[in-house]
Amino acid sequence: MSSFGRLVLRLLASLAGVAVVTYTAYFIIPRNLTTVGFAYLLLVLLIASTWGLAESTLASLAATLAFNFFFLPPIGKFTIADPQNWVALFSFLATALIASRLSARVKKQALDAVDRQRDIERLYTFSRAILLIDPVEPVARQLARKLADVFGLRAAVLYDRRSGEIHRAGPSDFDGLEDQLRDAASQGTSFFDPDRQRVITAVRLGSEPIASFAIQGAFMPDSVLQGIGNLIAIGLERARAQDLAHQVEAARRSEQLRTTLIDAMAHEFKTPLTSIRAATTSLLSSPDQPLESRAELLEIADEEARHLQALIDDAVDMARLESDHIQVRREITDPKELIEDVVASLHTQIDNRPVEILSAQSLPSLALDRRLLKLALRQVLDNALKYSPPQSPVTINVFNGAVSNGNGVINFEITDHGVGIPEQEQSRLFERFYRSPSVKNQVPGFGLGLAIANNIVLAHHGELTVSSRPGETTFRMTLPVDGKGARP
Amino acid sequence: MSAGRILVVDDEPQIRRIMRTALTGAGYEVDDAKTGEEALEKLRDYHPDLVLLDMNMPGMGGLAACREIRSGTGVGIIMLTVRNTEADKVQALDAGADDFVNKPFSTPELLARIRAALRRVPASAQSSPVRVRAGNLVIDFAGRTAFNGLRTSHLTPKELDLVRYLTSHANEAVAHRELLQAVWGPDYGDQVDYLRVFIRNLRKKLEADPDHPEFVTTEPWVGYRFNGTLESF
Repeated sequence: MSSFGRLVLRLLASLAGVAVVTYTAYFIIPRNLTTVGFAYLLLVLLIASTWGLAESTLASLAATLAFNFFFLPPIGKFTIADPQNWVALFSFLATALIASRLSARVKKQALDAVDRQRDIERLYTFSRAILLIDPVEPVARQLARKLADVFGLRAAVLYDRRSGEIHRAGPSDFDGLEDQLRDAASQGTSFFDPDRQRVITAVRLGSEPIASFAIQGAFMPDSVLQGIGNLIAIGLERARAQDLAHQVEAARRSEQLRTTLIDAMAHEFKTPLTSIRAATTSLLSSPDQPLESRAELLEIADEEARHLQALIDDAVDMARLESDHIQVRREITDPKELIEDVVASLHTQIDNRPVEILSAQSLPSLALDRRLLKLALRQVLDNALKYSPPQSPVTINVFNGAVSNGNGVINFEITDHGVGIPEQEQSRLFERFYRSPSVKNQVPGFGLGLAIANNIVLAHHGELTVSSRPGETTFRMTLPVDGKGARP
Repeated sequence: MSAGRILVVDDEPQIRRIMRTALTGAGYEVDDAKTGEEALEKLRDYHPDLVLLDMNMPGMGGLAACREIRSGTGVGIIMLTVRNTEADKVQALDAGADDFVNKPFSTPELLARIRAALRRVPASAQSSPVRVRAGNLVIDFAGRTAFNGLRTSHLTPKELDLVRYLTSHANEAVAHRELLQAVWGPDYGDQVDYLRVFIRNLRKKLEADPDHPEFVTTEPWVGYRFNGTLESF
């Protein structure tokens, strides 16, 4: 119901109150002028304290007329015979009006205090909401939504000058206004429309306007609007500072990635290229060398070209596996064959080193992505070769194991006899780009190999762990023989 | 009769293989080592004329191996590396290498560098004195040592060649290009940064105070000069 309708009802109710008092005094209680006068006064005070000045003024006038008509002689006429009664009647009217006014003012002050308290509570809630903003979603959009929620607005619109975006929230629409919002944000102007309870005002950081907001559906004093503006400024500024920090961090990460990749590419890719180039330039510059020498050079060039191709495939795989979403294409695979393939593919790196494969007699087949698992095992084995003395043996042990839920697992253990990995570095081994400070200048690498192996193993619901002491390091890859296509 | 004995030190088996083929084809005698440690061991029995040393190896690494080799012998050393920055070159030369080749390289280029490294300053060398003295400084060409009045240092072949050329033009300014070509060969001439490192190392051996050189001084924008009156004895 509109406030005007409510006011009319209250006015009618005030008149009805006067009528009830008049009726009661006239017919029921004895005709005592003082009692009647006080009864009217009581009614007027009651109305003034519960409703307001308009209602109590009307009640005062009505009571004065009724008092005159029904109780002051001559009764039944609006004329007054005794001049003393004129004084009484006007005293009554003045008392009623003054009492109404005082009472209404007290009531308004009480209501104002409640409003202020509510505004302060809402501002506090709003400030808390700003602190808890989730950085995933645009902050300005969340601010608009929180503003509408907390202040119970029909519509709230926030224009962020930095991003140039306008965010709307609240149950009803607040169309148009773009130009006014932009003006407010660029010139710091405000626009009030009290009839429709619309406000557009600028948000300032220091003296500079950085945004503007519009609200509809609630009247707010200037101090509250100012408070909202300040909180929005803090929220936006805080988000901007966080963005900046993230950008700096991202730039640092990408710089680190770039250096690592360049270092690794320089070594990994240039090594086969060096052999190829040395072979071809040798052939070109002295075409008349003996047949076996020419054959050897061509063979090396061919082998190294294939090596280069494998490196490029790996690099592409790495780039793809860098993300955490790995597509696993499972095929039934014999674990022993798998590890033998891996060892064969690393024959250049193994280079006559003792690499022993121990495997249990009966191993179940596994359903796994053969290509990915080979890549993972190759990373781990390559690491074992790289980080241990050139002639030291590397042992690969493949065996069955059981886990508590009754399903079996297959373990691949790769053990080398390098210096070992310090305890505090073990937990960081599987992080991307982590390279042990003790070896990173001696052994080239991306710092990606183990991270990728770990991602692949996790995508197979398995586990990659490390245990190390000086002189012996073992990486264990545990893969479940689960129901998903595995067969005995 | 081989053109020289070369020890190839590289952790990559394919590089060792290609070097063996290419260098044998060019008439050199070749042996190889997988690591710096192995190279130091082989050096004792094999007595190569030149070591081709990879910079980036597991274990002690190329630079440490180079310093170690240099501290014991005057064998020629060429460093091979995939990195191509000024800092890397300076590091290699500082460690005592005579030259520096970037991977990937062409075989003819490598062979040219090998020839340059094996090259000695010949004609004048034969007629040059065995031992000279200038003030406190004594240079023993036959014994490949220098005594700066405080201590005796071993001179590498290239350092020896530098000193020989500079002293044979004593009290004259020798241009960078002239010096480079005389010592390293006709393919050189622009590698002034090489020269800077070599001269710095040389000053450490010849000068009592290397920061304020008395004998080997810089001729700004031109080259270097050897100051002093030499007498053979």
